[in-house]
Amino acid sequence: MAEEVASARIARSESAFWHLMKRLFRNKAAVFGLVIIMLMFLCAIAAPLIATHDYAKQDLPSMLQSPSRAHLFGTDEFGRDIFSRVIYGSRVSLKVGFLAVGISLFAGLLLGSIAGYYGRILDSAICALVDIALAFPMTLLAIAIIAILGPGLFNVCLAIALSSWGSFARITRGQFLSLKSQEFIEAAKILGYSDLRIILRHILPNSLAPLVVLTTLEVPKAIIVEATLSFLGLGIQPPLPSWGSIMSSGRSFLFDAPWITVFPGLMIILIVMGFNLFGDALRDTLDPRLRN
Amino acid sequence: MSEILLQLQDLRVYFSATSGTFGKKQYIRAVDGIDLEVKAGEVLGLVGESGCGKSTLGRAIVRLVEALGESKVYYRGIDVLSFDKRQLKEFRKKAQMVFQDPFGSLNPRLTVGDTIEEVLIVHERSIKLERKHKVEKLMDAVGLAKHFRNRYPHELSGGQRQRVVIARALAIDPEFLICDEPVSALDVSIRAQIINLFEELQKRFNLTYLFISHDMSVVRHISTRVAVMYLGKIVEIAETDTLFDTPLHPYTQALLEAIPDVLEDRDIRRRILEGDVPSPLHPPEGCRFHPRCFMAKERCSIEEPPLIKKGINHFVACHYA
Ligand SMILES: Nc1ncnc2c1ncn2[C@@H]1O[C@H](COP(=O)(O)OP(=O)(O)O)[C@@H](O)[C@H]1O
Ligand code: SF4
Ligand SMILES: [Mg+2]
Repeated sequence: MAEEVASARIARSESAFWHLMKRLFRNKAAVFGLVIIMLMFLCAIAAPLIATHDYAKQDLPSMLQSPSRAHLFGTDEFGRDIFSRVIYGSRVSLKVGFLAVGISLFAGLLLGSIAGYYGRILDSAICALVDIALAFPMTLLAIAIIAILGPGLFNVCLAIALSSWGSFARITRGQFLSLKSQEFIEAAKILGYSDLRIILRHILPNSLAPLVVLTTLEVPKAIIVEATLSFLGLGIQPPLPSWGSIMSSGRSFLFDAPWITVFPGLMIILIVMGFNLFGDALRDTLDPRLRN
Repeated sequence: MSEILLQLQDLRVYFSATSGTFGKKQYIRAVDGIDLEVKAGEVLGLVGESGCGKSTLGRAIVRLVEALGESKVYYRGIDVLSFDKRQLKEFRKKAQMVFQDPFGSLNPRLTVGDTIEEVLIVHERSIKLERKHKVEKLMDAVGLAKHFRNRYPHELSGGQRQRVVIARALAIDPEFLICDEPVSALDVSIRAQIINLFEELQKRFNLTYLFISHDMSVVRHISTRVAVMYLGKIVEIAETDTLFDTPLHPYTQALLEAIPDVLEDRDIRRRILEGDVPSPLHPPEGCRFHPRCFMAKERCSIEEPPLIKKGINHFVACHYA
């Protein structure tokens, strides 16, 4: 049959996926970003193996030493090894980055789906909430929330999520609105499928691309907010090392011992750059229309 | 006389079209007072230019769009518009719809097998093996080979996709199928195949069709009766042969003129349809067809012609037919 011959020529869907991957990996920035992200994960997972010292152990005689063979990134005012603290700090950053964005994603998906699917008053109410949440600068809102909830890793995540779920809700809603009028959704309705089935099986799986992109772009933002909060003493509490709190402790020794601030600062720049490079490339590959 | 399956009384669907926040509220009168009966076992063709409200009519029957308050839709004598959610689900097991765009009608992330099987999962208590057999039977009924089971929509041609859509609609075991231009988006070369499939399935499963199309020759081929629609209203309805042999409404005559081969040897002046269809926002006063009608007289722009009987099973809405 002529029809069959024609369809045989069309690529199979797995090969469409590989085609996408190939295009993504031809992009040097994407590969560079991904390598950075993977190195960061490696640091976090293998921290006990990579660290040369106990990150919390004080050694006052060797305080404020400059980088050397014994202390690769030098020591702080308590003689703690900066290299080991920075390596362990990657755990905090990644944990907060993914946990906070995970919470945002969940809340955004839930509220965005409801707004987009049911419309009317629910939509207006949720959109108003989103506008309010997005109107505040993320860091400022997070500081206000920490002031209420108190510091700590989980509260930091919650604070970040509360200020960033709006973007996820907005994108989800947009996806729902454009998919809702498609004929396969109408077909699903006439076939008597439940709302939950239509949302979970027919709309959401077709809305993922921009959400994946947004996730990779929101993680670095969350990492920066965490570092900022910790720098201000509102985030991760000692002795747990966060890049932000390490930098904060180096503030008073900026001229005598710049290595305390420089190395965690470099790590923040590196991880944020990694996620942004990868996220941008992913967006361009998945959906060129999203480029602004 | 066979039983009346579906009956529409004064069916109206208006869409609001407000321009700007403080703009005047206006209505697109997509379907504007339609009375129609569909008999069990027949294929009722519905023709008319694009934008005249055919799809909206079909969608209102299965309640994808809401009809205006006084409208009535009776299915086997029961009022469809008063159904609650559960009754609506039951009704939709009897009445299904096939859309125009076979690509848009399929979830791009589900395989052919999953697409058809989902209907069975939702509506039947059957084990996986039974479902597998039933999916195969349905695919066979619409002429899809077994190996298409694991294919995705983008791997199929338009004709194959429409076969999947038909199989999915049949999975629910309906008695009434609304076919909304099911072949218009397909290659001309495969239209005939799909039309034949519709005919074959209609006989085999004892189905009733409301077959919507803007293509007169398709409608002539498949329908037992034909209704002609213009700007939200039915202007003529008759058995297929009657309508094509002795069209009474000037609009029907003009539509027939537009197809090659029909009326060729007859002594009817060529009546090419001129101008565009007026906007359903402001349908013309009197007879809606009068700005384009070659027979229009003064009365036509003042008084709206009712649909009246002009022959056996032949109804026309024109003052001078
Ligand atoms: N959801 C909708 N909202 C607003 N206007 C609509 C909607 N659906 C259809 N219309 C309008 O109603 C009229 C009839 O459309 P439709 O039923 O699709 O016609 P057809 O199927 O005969 O081409 C058109 O003017 C169209 O623009
Ligand atoms: S009523 Fe008048 S305008 Fe309308 S179709 Fe008949 S002749 Fe034409
Ligand atoms: Mg249509």
